[in-house]
Order: sequence, then structure tokens, then C-alpha cells
Amino acid sequence: MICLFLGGNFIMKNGLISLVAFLALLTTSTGFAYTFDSDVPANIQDQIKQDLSFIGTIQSTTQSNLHKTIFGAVSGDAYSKFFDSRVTGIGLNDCGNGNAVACVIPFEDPSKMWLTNNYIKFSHPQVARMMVVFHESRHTESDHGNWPHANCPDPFLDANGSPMKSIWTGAPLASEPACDETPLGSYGSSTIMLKNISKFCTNCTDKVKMDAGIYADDQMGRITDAGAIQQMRDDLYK
Amino acid sequence: MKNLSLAVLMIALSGAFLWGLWTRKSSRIPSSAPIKPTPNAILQPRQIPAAQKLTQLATPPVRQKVEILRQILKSKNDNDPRLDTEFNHLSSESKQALEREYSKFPPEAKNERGTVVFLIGKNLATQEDFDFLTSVVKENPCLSLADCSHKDGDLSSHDNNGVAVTLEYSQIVAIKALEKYMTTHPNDSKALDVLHAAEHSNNHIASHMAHALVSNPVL
Repeated sequence: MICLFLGGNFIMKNGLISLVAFLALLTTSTGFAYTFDSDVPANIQDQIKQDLSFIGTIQSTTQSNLHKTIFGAVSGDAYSKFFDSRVTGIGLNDCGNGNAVACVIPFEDPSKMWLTNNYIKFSHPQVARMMVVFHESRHTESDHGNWPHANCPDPFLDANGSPMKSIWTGAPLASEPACDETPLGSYGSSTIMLKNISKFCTNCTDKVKMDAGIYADDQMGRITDAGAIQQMRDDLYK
Repeated sequence: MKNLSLAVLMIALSGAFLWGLWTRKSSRIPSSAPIKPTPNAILQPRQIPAAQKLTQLATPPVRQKVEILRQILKSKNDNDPRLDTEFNHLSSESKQALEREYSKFPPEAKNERGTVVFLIGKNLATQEDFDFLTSVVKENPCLSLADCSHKDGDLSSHDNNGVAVTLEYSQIVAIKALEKYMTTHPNDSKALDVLHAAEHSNNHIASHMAHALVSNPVL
């Protein structure tokens, strides 16, 4: 009886371990890496791989609460996992705008990111390129409706109801589908990512941290809901 | 006879080919005039004619600084740690060399120019340093990333994410440098002069940043 009990316990224990291992394998096997379309020029492939590689090295010792909600830690591993689990392919497209660097076209392929020739043609800081890439990667999330943007208000007012005098936003954005009302959308998530890098990255150059702060402030200006603005200010600017 | 003719023809063709190679190589002697890239060209840092390369710079340490900068910019890796370690306590000569680099980049080379402003901004000391920042903030607004002299596209749309900032990147970096400088040098007249110049410039974002800094000093 004891042997049977012990034998049963042995079988149950190893069966449990096997089940856990199987589930872990199943889970990790669903994380995928992106592939390039054949028409993506080699120099664009090289640049985005280099940029993502840089992001993949980021280290820190802390993060804000909103960052933890969206990405987890301020770490290269977290950012790489975030991107790799959302983008399965990278192609070449003009994105319908002469200044666009990247875009996602959900109705065509919700998991595909399109880069334009501007990715290497225009002289953006490296952080700005990554801002666009991670902003767009948020739009791949079909289970959140691809995080559509809200129309910017017209007129564009601040939290006190006064006309917006911020340098980052203003009349040109009024009525454009280029704002967000949640901290968790594409503008919000990229703001949160960049501001955390600016504040907490321990192995970034001063230039990278400065650039992250500059572009974070720009993205913050696209958040239009008073509650969202306050939540993000409390999370990032205090 | 036929073979002789063929041989003569081959020799003649070979000679013509070699002549063409030689003359083409000779014509590549670079001119001394700066090269202005055409709009929409893939942008590279302005090529410095061979005759004006580092040998024109005064001392080995200065040449080294410029070479490091060129390597970093060519790599497009803004996280190169040498940005933090190799450009501290710059001599006046080094800063002048970096400013020459700045002037050689086309206005569309936003990150390249902004990086130079960042490095000078870390080493603000003399009136000449602030004069450089003044010249930066007073530059004409860049109207598009492809060609600063022409507007291209609507900056308000979703797909122009961050473009407005990049267009004024050099100017914004200059203001950021002053912001940091004034944490240890509040009410410094040299810095305030640059901020006032920025306030009155046509670079919209930098103008507002400067105004905010003048109105609400960091200390």
C-alpha cells in the first residue's frame, strides 16, 4: 500500500511537472519573431534591427505604475517581448503620407508593420524612430480594437477650459484623429515608454535620455482627456 | 590577315578602355567647394573633400574628437557611450571644430546637427559658445524633413508623429542645454540673451520653450 501510494505520488508529481512544462512550451511557442518582406531594402532592415537591438539592451532599476501595466519593467527584455509578440512581419509601404516613417494597416494585416523609405531617409534621432515603431505596434492589438485614436477637440482646450497654449499641440490638431483619451493607447503608451526611459534608464546616454524626454513631452500633448492627463502627470511628471 | 586585324582591334579597344578608366579616376579629385545634397536624396553627412579632411584640423586631440563624432553619426547609434565620455571639458579649439562640422551638414541633417548642439551645450563656458547657440536658435524654420526650404505635408496628421519636433531638433536641444546650464547658473546673462533670441525666432516650439523658461526659471 505504501509503495503504491509512493508510486502514485511519484507518477502524479512527474505528471504535474510534465504538464507544467508542456504548458510553458505552448505559451512560449506562441511568441513569434518578425520576418521581412523581400522588398524591404537591406539598409532599412539593418537600421530597424540595429534600433530594436538598442532598445533590447535597455536596463533600469524601476518603472512607473503605468509602465508596469503596459510593458512591465523598463528593460530591453520587456520591450523586445512587447514588440515581438505583436509584430509578425515588416514590409515596405509609403503609408499614404510623405512624412510617415511607419504604419500599421489593420484591415490588411493587423500584425504587420509597414516601414517607409523615410525610416532611413530622414534624419530623426534614434529615439524618435523607436517612438514611432512602438506607437504603431500598439495599433496591432486587435483585441483592443487596434487602439483607435480620438479626434482632437476643436478648439483644443487645456484642463482648465482655456485655449491650449502648449507648444506641443494647438489649432492644427483640432478635429484631427490624432489624439488619445486614454493613457493606454498608442500616444499614451509611447509617452509612458519614453518618459520612463528618460527618467530611469541606467545604461542610456544623456542624449538618448534627453531625446526620450523631448519626444515623450510631444506625445503627452496628444492626450486630451482630463482624467487621463492627470493620471499620466501623476505617474510620470512627479 | 584577319587575325592581325582582330588583334589590332582588341589592342585598340583595350587601350580605349584603360584610357577611360584613367581619366574617370582623375576626374574624381574632389573640389574644395562644399557639396549641397539634392532634396529627397538619401541624406548622409555632407562629404568633406579629401583635401580638407582631418589634416586641416590643428591638433591630434581635436582631430580625434571630430573623428569620433563622425564615427558615431555614421553609425546612427545615439547610445554610443562615447557621447558621454569623449566630449567633456572640450577645449575652445575642439568646440570650434565641432561647430565647423555643424556648418557642413545640410539643414535637413537634423540628428547630426542636433548632436553637435548637444555636445557644445554640455560645454558652455565662453561667449563664443553662447553665440553659437544664438545662431542655432535664430536659424530659419525648416519646413520639411526632405527639404527645409519647402513645406511637404500636413504636420497635424497622425502619420507626422514627432515630425514637428524633429524639424526644430537643433533649436530644442539648444534650449534644453540652456535649461540645464541655468540650474547652476541662474539668471546668467549670456544664457538669457540666447533665450530671448529664441523667444523672438520663428521656430515655434523652441520659441515657446524659451518663453516658458524665461517666465518660470528653473530655480
